[in-house]
Amino acid sequence: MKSSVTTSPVRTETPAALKPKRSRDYGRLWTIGPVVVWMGVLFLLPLLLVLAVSFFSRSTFGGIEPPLTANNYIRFFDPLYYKILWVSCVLAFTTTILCLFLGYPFAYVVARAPVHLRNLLLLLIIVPFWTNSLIRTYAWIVLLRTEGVINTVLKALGLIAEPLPMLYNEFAVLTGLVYTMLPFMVLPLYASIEKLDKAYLEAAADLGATSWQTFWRVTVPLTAPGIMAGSLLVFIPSLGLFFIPDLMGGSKAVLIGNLIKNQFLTARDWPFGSAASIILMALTLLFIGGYLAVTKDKEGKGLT
Amino acid sequence: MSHPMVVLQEIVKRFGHNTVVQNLSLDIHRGEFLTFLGPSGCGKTTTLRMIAGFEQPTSGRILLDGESVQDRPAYERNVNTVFQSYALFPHLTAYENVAFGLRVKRVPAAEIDRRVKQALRLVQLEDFAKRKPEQLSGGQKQRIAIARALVNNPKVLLLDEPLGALDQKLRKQMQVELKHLQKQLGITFIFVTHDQEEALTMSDRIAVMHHGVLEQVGTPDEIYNRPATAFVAEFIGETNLLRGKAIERTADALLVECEGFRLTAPLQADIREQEPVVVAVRPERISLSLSPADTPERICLPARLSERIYTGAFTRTVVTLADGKTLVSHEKTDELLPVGQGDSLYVQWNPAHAVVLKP
Repeated sequence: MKSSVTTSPVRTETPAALKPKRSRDYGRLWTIGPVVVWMGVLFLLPLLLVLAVSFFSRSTFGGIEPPLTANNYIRFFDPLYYKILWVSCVLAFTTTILCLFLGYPFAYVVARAPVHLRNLLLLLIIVPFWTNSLIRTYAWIVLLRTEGVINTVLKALGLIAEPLPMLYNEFAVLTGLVYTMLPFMVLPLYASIEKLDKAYLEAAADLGATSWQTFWRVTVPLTAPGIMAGSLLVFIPSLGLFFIPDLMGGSKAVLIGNLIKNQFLTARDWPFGSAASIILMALTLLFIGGYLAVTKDKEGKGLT
Repeated sequence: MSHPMVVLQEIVKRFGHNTVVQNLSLDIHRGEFLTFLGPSGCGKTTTLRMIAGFEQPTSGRILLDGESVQDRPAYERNVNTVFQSYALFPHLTAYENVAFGLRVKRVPAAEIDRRVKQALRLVQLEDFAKRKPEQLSGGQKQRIAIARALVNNPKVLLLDEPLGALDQKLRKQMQVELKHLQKQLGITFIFVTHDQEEALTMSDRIAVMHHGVLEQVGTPDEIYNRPATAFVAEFIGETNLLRGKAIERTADALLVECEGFRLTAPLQADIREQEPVVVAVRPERISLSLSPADTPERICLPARLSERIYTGAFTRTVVTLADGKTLVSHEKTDELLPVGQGDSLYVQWNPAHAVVLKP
């Protein structure tokens, strides 16, 4: 390592010449050191703890005890559990698709709006984020429940006789997820559509492409990094969001996020909860790996 | 031949309160290489974009091969554009870029393949078909952009400063190639540039624009030797402008008086007696001598040598007249007059080579 970090082109092997280099090494330590400590304490250590716990056994009173075992992982492949994972993936996927279809036109309009309007529209997407997401979820409950705002209004207008069942089902969970995740789709899409050079659209029209053909053959491929990034940013957190299924799905919707939460808080089975977390994380890494392979986005630019 | 290929009728284009093109009328013939020439912001690119269909004229009509097209979108006009930035689709290979126009028109696959290969052969890039634009040099991108436009057999090819990004040598080479291509294919080319040399080299006719106004349309020779306005005279090539006054109009000539000399010029309808005029003389028309001219018709003025700038084949020589006015003469570098700085000499030129213009 040392030889590769020398900055002077001529290396003299005398100790005197090495001394100033040493002090520069301290300088490097000062700049890199805090980052290493930060990453170690806040990222690596908790991760290693979870990984370690996942190989222990559950003690009678909900603690952890030896012997070390892989049983927690084996247990996950019980149909009961991997079905939960499958249902979660399907729900997260549906959320992603819905966010994409709702988010793309919106991002397109914002990116093509006059500059002074653009910032206002972006602000409108971001402002709800300044409110706690739990509170926003409760707001949805107020809207959707049997005696909620929507049903009351529809009944008053005489459009429905019986209240629509809009809460405590999959529809409610999906609504909550799409609502919460939409900005994560819109922002990367906006970034890539905004970067799209209008000359490409003119070139396509010039070559005889209708607006629709231009959209599918030019706009979509050229904004693919934004589509992929947005999809990933929606899909991955959707797998783990537990409070939306909890609050809006009632007891029916058990998803992987709820499963993990329940293992820690209700069942007090930390080792199994940890194993499920590690499996979910492995799956997530797999998706990110797939993203990098497909988009050849080596530096992960689309994700930042 | 029947009607012109492109007809611009009283075209006006405004952006807000800003008039970019003012009442432009022009016929562009079949198979012609016409260049819109002018400084940046003169409205030449806007005019091209109106023909392409990217901009709508505020008023006026555009006819393409006899049909009115100003209300048709770009994709319904049988013209193609080579863009200044090339605008090659970065996600497609060179081959797919060229094939794009045919694919969107649902041309049968076999025909697409044949025509794309033919177009790539035309620009000598058959071997680069599989490359992405980022793997092509500037000159190669340029050729692909030309092939992508030509493969659609357009009635008119529009070129928006397509050589601007190339280095000097490549630009010269592409000028010649484009001209050959145009002759070979017989397609009408409408070219936009701010480079007067490029315009003179390539065009059948040049349309000079200034502040949205069409100043003059003519062959390169007419534009260069018979500029219609002082702007055209100054913009195209180097020129000497001398202030004077029209003193007499006869049936077929105009007598002009400048500081120290008089000359007769071809009659111009819009210049009246006693009006101020400008006399334009090209530097290569001005010769230097040690003794006064031996023929009385030649205009001959005493001057002093101020500066000589070597530029290669010719030397740019600046002389100062008695009244302090400077003139530029182009001397052949091999045949320089043996005088030094500050020495007296005579400048002379044939009055037939001078052009009288409204200031």
